[in-house]
Amino acid sequence: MWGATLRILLYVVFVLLPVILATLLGGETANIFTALGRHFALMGFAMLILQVVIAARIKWIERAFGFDILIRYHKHMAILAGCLLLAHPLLLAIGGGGWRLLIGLDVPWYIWLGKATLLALLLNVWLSSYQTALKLKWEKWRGVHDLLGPAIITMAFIHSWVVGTALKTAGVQILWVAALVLGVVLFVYHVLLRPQHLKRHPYTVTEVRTEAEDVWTVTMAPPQGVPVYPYIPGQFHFVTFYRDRNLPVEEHHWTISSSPTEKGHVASTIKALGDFTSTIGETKAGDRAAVHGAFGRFSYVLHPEERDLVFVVGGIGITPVMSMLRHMRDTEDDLSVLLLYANKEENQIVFKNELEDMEAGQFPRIKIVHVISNPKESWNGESGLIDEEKIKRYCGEELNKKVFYVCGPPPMIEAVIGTLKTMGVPDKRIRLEIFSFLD
Amino acid sequence: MRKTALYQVSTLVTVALISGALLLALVRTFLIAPSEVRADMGSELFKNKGCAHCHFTDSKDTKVGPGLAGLFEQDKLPVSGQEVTEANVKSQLVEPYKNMPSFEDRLTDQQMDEIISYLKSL
Repeated sequence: MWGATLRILLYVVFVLLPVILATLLGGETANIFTALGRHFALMGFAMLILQVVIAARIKWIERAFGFDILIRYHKHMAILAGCLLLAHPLLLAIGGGGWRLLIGLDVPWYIWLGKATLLALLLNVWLSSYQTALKLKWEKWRGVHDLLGPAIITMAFIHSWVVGTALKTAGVQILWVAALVLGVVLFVYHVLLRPQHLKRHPYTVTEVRTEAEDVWTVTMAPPQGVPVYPYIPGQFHFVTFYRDRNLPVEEHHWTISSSPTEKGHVASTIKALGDFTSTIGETKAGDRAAVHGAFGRFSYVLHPEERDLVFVVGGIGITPVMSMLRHMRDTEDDLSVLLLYANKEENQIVFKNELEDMEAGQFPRIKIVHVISNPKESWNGESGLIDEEKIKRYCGEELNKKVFYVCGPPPMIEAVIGTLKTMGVPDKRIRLEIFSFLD
Repeated sequence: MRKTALYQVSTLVTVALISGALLLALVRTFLIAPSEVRADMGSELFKNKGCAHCHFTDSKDTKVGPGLAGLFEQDKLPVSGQEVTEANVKSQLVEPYKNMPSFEDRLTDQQMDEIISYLKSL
């Protein structure tokens, strides 16, 4: 809690720092509109630099929030920066700069550069916000994002350096150069150096096992003599497979389904949900993989005081839960667990046999309820969706003593959260992983 | 739930940043006494209003019009030959000599004073 608060405070201070310096060193302005217009520009640039910092997967920042939350904060702040930078020329025009700043064609090159920067920023925000609706493939979007990001920062730096009143003071100049260097160094590290390092020290695929229809577990071992990176159950990692055979090379993030109690390897269980994941079955032992982990806060080990857990899971959302259950079993943790596991059809249940073994075992004390939405006549378990009636029937009336972990397809997550809230479960007792970063 | 907390944090940060910017803008507008910064404002106007298109400020060389470095250290304005005074420079802005466009409609009186203040600093 305090760690997160400290990081948020640092964010606010860094964004306001150039404005504070400009006020202390730059002095008065003619009117409130001009002052505010300049402040928004200074803050907008600082926020653009921090966009790189937030997205660079820096562990010290990520572990306080979880990467899924952090990347959404990145998105919120992009929209805020866009609004501030859009207001910047409007306020300057109102403050006496004249509307030529906005609509005039005979303005100097550095004003055109400012306009181009703003347009590029708005384009970037738009593409990121509507990537799914635009049916823009993740890899293509990422390529455009990685080009537009540095271009926006470079253009904003040049525009502000040439025209910015505050940039005439040495204090703000030093801050500006330091911020630019920070942004460039982190961007180069995140986009070029770290991927190259991970590629040069790849994990090796040791096994590809079919778990259910179109679902495979890919097990990977680190280079000889190197331990698996540290992780806790429920986290995820980024993986780039190098498989040759004309198979695509793309970085994707998957939940870790193995438990950290298993030494010498790490595994992800992956379902064919798109163009790339449909090729996972073609992965073979001996293939290489650049692995970057671990991220996320969807883990029971972060809340050791909570002993009565309910996992509400849909489809392949079982993977982080499986990692946690395996960890409970291997560490002989005497937790009380209810697993409500929804699938369309019975043959889509992943880890069915291992879950049955766990239910028959001692640790954790687990009850498993399979819910099939499209059952065959022979199915004699629960059918339909995980709804209020089923939750009440299996959890009992005292929901406030339980903690709910929800993981699955976004529509299911939304429905279950709505149901839990209707039933009076407080926000702090509902945990979820928002696995799609762009939705 | 973390998603709710995210929206709360984003809202709080937005409010904190805009409040900070507004507060410091009020300080700069109403609490800091006018000072030599007027020359800085003139410098900005010099760029934004297109003066820099035609005039160097760091030399006396001709770009389109004459360079303005050390203008107020000279006896006469470089083209009109009039005495270098604030009034004559302002007159040049309103009713220019030769090819220079008039800035009468593009600059307020205060802005002209700020540009002159900047030219005096060159």
